[in-house]
Order: sequence, then C-alpha cells, then structure tokens
Amino acid sequence: MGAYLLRRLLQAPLILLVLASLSFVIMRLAPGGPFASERAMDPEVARELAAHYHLNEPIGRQYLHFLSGLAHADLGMSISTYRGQSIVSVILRDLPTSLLLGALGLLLALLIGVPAGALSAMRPHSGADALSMVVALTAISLPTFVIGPLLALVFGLWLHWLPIAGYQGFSHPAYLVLPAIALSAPFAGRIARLTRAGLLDVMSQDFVRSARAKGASELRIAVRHALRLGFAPVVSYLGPAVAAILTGSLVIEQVFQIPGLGREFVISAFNRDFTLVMGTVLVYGLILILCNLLADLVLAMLDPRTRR
Amino acid sequence: MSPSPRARRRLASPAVAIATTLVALVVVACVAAPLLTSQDPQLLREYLGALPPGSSHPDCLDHNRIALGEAIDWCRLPAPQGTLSVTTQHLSAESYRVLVRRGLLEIRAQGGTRVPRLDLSRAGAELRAYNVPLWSPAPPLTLSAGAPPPAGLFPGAERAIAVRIVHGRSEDAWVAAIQGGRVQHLTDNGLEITQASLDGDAIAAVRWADASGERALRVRHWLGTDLGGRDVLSRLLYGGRISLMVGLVATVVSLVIGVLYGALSGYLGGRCDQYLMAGLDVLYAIPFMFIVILLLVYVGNGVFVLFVALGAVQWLTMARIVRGQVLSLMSREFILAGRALGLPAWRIILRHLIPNCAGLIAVYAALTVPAVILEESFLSFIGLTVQYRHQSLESWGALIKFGVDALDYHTGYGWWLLLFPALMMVGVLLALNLIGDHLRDLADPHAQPR
Repeated sequence: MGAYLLRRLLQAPLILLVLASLSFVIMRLAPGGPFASERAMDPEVARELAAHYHLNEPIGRQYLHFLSGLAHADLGMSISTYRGQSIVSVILRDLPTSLLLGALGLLLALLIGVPAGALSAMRPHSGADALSMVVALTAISLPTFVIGPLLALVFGLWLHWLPIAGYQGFSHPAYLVLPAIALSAPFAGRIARLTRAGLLDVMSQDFVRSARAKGASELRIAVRHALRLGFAPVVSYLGPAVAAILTGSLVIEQVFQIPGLGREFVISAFNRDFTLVMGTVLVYGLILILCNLLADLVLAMLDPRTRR
Repeated sequence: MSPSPRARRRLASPAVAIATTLVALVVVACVAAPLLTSQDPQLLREYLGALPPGSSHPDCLDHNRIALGEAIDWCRLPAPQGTLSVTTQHLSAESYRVLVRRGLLEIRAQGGTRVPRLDLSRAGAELRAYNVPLWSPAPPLTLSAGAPPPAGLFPGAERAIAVRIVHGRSEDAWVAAIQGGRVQHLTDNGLEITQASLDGDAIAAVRWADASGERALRVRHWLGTDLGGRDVLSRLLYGGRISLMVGLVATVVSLVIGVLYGALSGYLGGRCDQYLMAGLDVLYAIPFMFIVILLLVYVGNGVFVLFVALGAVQWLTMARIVRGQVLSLMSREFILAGRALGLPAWRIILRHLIPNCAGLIAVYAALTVPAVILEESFLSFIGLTVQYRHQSLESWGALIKFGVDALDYHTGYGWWLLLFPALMMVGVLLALNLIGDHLRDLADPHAQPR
C-alpha cells in the first residue's frame, strides 16, 4: 500500500503538469489576446503590454517561461481582470470562501446521503427504500442551477428563513446555507445510492454470516463489521465527487453571487486573462489531487484488501 | 442467453416502462417539432413580453408592412381571398420609481419629481423589482407617499421597485382587401393609402373576413412566451433537439475513443496495458470541465468542438470497463484460436473483442447520454451556448438560464419560463438514468451504481 500511495504522490506533479500544459496550449494557440476586445489601442502601447506579459515571444519560449514561473510558485500578475494584482493575492482572497462552500457541500452530502443509503440497505425493496432511491435519482438528475433558484424562492422569499444571495464573510454563515444545500443535492443522491449498494453487497458476505453465527447483534454487525467495508465505494467516489463539486461551484457561485474562485475562473476565462485562468485551474487541480490522495488513504484504512 | 425469470420480472418494471415511454414521447415530439407547433422558436415579438401559459395574442408579426400589390406573408391567412383588418396601437408609458425610506414610501416620476399618489389599479400598470428584467402586472393598489408600504409589495425591508403604466393611444385601423393572396385595396382609418408599416406598434387585433364569415385571428401560447415574446413551447421542443443531439453525438464520440483505448489496452496487455492504464489514472485526476470551458471559450463554442470536448470528458469510464471485459475475453478459446490462425490485431479487436463487449458498451452508453446532457446544460448556463453558423442553438440548459434570469423573485411572475424547461429536462434525465440503471442491473447484477 505504501508503494501505491507513493506512486499516487509521484503522479501528482505529472497531473498538474498535464493540466497546466493543456490549459496553456488551448489558451495560447487560439487567436485573440487579453487586450483584443478592448477599445482600439495605440499600437505602441499594445506592443509594450504584450512585451510586459511576454505575449510577443515565440510560443515555445512562452511555455518555458511559464514553466519556470510555475516551478518558483510564481503565477504572475492578472492581465486584465484585476490589472496589476498578483494572482496569488487574488486566489488567497477568494479561495477561503470557495473552500468553505465546497467543504460544507461535501459534508452535507455525506450527512444526508450516508444515513439515507444505510436506511435503504437495512430494509431493501421496502417502500422507504424505493422512496429514498427515487429521491436520490431525482437529485442526481436535477441540475444544481435549478435547485439553487428554487431553494432561494422557497426559503428566501416565501418563508424568509435565509438570505437569497450574496456573501458577507465568515461571520454570516447563513449566506452559505442555501448554496451548500444546492451544491450537495446531486452528491447526496449519489452517495445514498453508493452506500446502499455497498452495504447490500457487504451484508451478503461470509464474514457477516460468521458474525451472525457467533451471535452478534444486528446493530453490532452493521457498525463493527459491515459499515467499514460498505463505505469503500463511497470513499472511492469522494475523489470524483470533489471534482464534480468544484465544477458545480462554478455555477452555484454565479447563481448565489458568491465571490469565490469559481466565479473568478469563469470571468477570467471570458476575459482571456491567461494568468488568472491558469492560477485558478492549478489551484483546482491541486485541491482535487489532495482529495484523491486523502480518499486513497482512507480507503486503505477501511479496507485491508487494498493494502497491497 | 435468455434472461432469468428474475430479470424478466424486472424487465416489466412499471417505472422503467413509464420512463421509456416518456423518453420516446419526448424524442418524437422534439423530432416532429415543426408538426406540433407552427411557432418559430427564434421569432421575437418584443411588444408582447412574457405572457403566462395559455395566453393568446393577435396572429401577426411585428415590424412589418402592408403595401398595394404585394403579397401578405406575415399573417397566416386561411384563404387567399378576403378582407384583412389590422388594428394597431401606439404605446406610451409613464414610469415611476417607488422606494421605502425609513419605513415610508417615496414615489418619484421620471426626472425625479415627487409624486403624492400613484394609482396602480389602472389598466396597464406593471411593476418589477430592480435588477429583474421581467415586468409583472401590478396588484390593484393605491400608493401614497409618506405612508407605510402595503403588505406584499416590498418583501425585503429597504427595497425599490419600478412602476410603469402603459397607455394605448390613437388606434389605427388598416383594412386590406386581398385577392389571389395580394393586396388589391388598402385604407388607413378609411383613407386610401398605398402602404402602411407596423413599426414597433402593438397589434391590438387582427380580423379576417372571407366568404365563410368574419373571425379574429389569434395564436395561443400554451406554455406562454418569454421576455422577447417567443413561444415557450416551440423553444422547448427545438431546444430538446439540441440537448438530445448533443447527448447522443458526444456519447458516440466518447464511445469511439473509450472503446478503442480500452480494447487496445486489454489486447496488448502486460507493460503496454500498465502504461495505458496509468495514463488513464492521470487523466482521471484532471478536472476536465475546466479544460472543456477553456476549449469552448478559446477555440470557439461551435457545435463540433462541443461534441469532441464533451466526448473527451466521458470516455475514461468506458475505457476502463471495456479494458476489463477484454482482459477476461483474452483467455477465451475463440480469441486464442484467432491468434493461432494469425489474424491481424485490428481484426481480432474489431471483429471479435468489441462485438463481445457490445452489451456492456450499450449499458454504459445509455448512462453517458444523461450525463452529457447535464454537462451541456451546465455549459449553457455559464453562457457557453452552442453555436452553429453564428447562431445560438438554445438547449434546455440555455432555456433554464433564461428562466432563472427572468424569474421575478418578489411576485413569482415568470415562473413558467423556469418551470417548463426544468421539468422537461429533469423528467428526461430521470427517465434516462432509470433506464440506464435498469439495463446495467440486467447486464451485471453485481455492478455498483455510479
């Protein structure tokens, strides 16, 4: 298992490199620069701006320059969106909000999905099971940008329980409740299904039968024996779930007007702000890699069979 | 292989039957959209604005003209002979701004002059919250400056609304006698003229008289109209074509890449297989939607870029599944026989390995379609609508985005713009997921849901 984790760890820089290179190639090979859409510019100024951001050099040199910056953890300056601000400062400003939102979303998904799936698995093919699975499938099929406005409509406007949109910092967590619920719904659905399938699979295995035979109570079997292994599919899903939550936050931050990294990415992509796009993409890639590693670790702890 | 009795019972599951029927109905409705609705989904009638479901309006196009000797192609006339009379209205609007200051109302007309009273019970009074593009009919109220705000009008504490009172003035009535589909005689309020144009005026009524009698020409919008006066039903059906087509074609793209990659990896085996799978691991860890967004922004959001981009996101799982199946097939006699006969690799892969994975491939393709539709709607939502020949192809995702933008959070006016596209899309995705799950259970009862 140690060797496996080490390999995953060694893969991480490779993944980041592939991600960065892909983004670089897509952005730099396309016509139109960050200044293309603005008002007619003095050619002298345009040349100087291009030289300042190394946009006038051959593409290979630009790539090398970009890689060396990356190696020094220097992401450069924002070209157009926040002219003159360093990417690192923009990311540091927006990342905590996005992280908090994403973590809340993931937590909610687990808190809703795991009990729902476990209850389903305890009474398979019952009415409650069918109901919770239909709800789960509906949640998977609902785009987050439909759930978001509906929640805002019901809980914000009709019931006045929670604010509709906006973000007021960590001191006002109420603003994050609706976005987090909207973000978590599809994942809660998936996790419920995975938990149910995982538990059903485990409950029919030999070691559970042995536990029953030696007279352990159903509760003890579920908690001590089945849950550990039954969670394996849920945990291995957490990696892809984090990726999906990251992309989901792009939309949720837009719907609820939350100033996070996802909104920054969309704005900078449309603005052709190369450096800011690259910075946000790399941060997202890094988060994803870390979460994948974490999921691998937890998986190894839960299921001894994966510790090869 | 005949299905087991248990599988047969599950084949007859009512939920799956309903889901299949629903998908089939929606597909047929979207393909046959021109037969089901005569409305052009792109046709703007800005003067109409957003009309609730079931409303109707005079059946004529805006921005058009009648001229002597010319054909009238902007009214759907039932017969080539008869008399057409069109009544138009010049519209004008007074606008006001109403705000709450320290719990009391303040009313200002255009230019900032204060107004003591505002009667909203008059015909044509509309209001909207700021930053919301949709006007909704005003409740029958009288607002007085200095009084506390009436309940229900200002859900928030310190908010402002815009009020508009639309008047129709100076009606014009054009009467055109039409023979053989062409205008032979034209009058404007009784005076003979040679041509008249409908420059942005609202058409109040269109009547048609022929041998069978006189009747009003009206068109009904069963699901209402959007902010630009476009028919929601036809937009829904034509949007469905886009969503379903994207789902289908991108799935085929992902199928081709994934099946070839997986089959090759499984066929080669050994070290090659290891490297190909390690590559897959790296690709799995990349947040591909970000790359897709960059591709669409920078390379252009043409329909083909979208197909390839979405297909490229989805092929990874397919490759893994096919590779696993191929690996287990590689030790079977018929493959060994093929290799012993010296068949070329491509022949074994294409003629023997892939056909034997067909069931599994079909199941995962069925699950890929809803995933792709969802991803496309996501892209539409952040503003990357599919383009084809410089025209936006508005899918269900784009319609939902319009609905979200148009929804008036204070009065709920405009709900049909969000509800119908959302219902349609959720219904189809749910049904497709149900069918895909069911197929997977039939093919492999031990598989876990994704």
